[in-house]
Amino acid sequence: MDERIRRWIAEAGIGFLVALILMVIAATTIGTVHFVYQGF
Amino acid sequence: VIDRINESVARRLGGAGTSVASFVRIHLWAVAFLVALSLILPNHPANVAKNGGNRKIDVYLHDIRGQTNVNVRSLALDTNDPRAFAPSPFGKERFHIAWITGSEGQVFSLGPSKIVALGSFTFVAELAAQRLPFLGGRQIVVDLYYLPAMRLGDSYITLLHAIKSKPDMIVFDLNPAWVLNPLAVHQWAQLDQIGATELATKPEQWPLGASLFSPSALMWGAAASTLGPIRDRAYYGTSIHDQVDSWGPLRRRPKDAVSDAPSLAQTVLTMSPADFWFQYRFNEKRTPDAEFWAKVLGPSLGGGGPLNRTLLSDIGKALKDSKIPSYVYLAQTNSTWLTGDKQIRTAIDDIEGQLEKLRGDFAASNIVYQPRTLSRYVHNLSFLRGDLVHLVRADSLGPYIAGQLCRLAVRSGYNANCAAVGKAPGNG
Repeated sequence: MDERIRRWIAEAGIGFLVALILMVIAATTIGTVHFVYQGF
Repeated sequence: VIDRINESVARRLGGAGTSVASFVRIHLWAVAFLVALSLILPNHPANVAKNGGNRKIDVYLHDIRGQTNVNVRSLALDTNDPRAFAPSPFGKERFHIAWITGSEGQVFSLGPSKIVALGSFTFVAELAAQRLPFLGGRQIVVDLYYLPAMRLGDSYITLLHAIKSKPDMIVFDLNPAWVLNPLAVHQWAQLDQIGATELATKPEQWPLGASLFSPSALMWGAAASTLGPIRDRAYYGTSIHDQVDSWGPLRRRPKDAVSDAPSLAQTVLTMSPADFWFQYRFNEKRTPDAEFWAKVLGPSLGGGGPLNRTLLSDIGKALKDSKIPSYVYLAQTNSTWLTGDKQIRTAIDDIEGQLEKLRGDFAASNIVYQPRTLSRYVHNLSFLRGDLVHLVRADSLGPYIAGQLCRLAVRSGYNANCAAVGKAPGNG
């Protein structure tokens, strides 16, 4: 396969993985530190 | 070895990521895929009825459908959900009152042993709404923006959020213990994202934004405003946790949860800001008496916190600009202490005096601003034992506030029969 096409496919693949990882990070980093409401 | 791996990867991937141009293209692909995913994936709008997040604070959020023709619903979502509030479940044809309050807007019930019966309480909003079922010929509904221990900064962010839903009226209360207190102006972190995004559109408020939020709040807010999966990340987060939390080493048995004594770091990280400052700056523990509450009020006196004054001025400006009829009042203060305890009386006088000086910030035809505590106008209020603001009986509060809202509505051009609402007790 032409090296240029291979590079483009690889870049798109890495880009997709980055998008996916960002989404997982977004979903799993909320509410990690939160005060416990104790009245008041 | 590293060189050989690099060489092999570079050969197989056609040299992806080895030049600046390639690096930029990878980022562009990532953005393109994020946009594509947000178009493909279904929306998961925040919904009060389905809100699994309410599991934690369910006792604070209840529904009185069927009680009368009154409808009052809390819009608060789970404390981990950065969307913070759900849209109103009521139709546009109703008269919407956006009611922004903390626990000072609750009326608690006492159990048999005279302690607060969790899950058994009402809201001042309900008491008022029962007396005022219709305004302008439309049935009123209350969109309750309620978080326990809501502080002034939390209330301001909530107000900006509520105004965007274009309610017909706004009720905004000020908690005497915290309105001018610099020790805790912002507590609920799930509001950061919407707060940072709101303030980003107002350059004159960037210093306030920098005081309250971190840059990440702005980043998440900006991403959430354009990308659905980021906006709905609480939904995905819950789904992922439901799946993986039971996996082997991640599983926590109930036994572990109770037997692990929290470390000092854990304890400090989960304390509310107010508790933290009392314990570590003033070396004070909570005691249910006037002396403790006089100490709580201490930092509010003689000028209070500059951030608080800025927030109050911003609240006034937001209400003026909205042109929505608004009622802003200083919530009740323990009536017995107000008349019988010199320290409390002096402190509340001072706070009222400071709020009176800020009247100009609220001077507009659409705003009724009441900087004196409700206890000056409404009598026969009962409070939790040893507590400054929390109510256990407030029968006369409903008619009084309903009367205020009715007159505000009439002043704003709505048709309403305020005589039917009931005469407000005392107006001194």
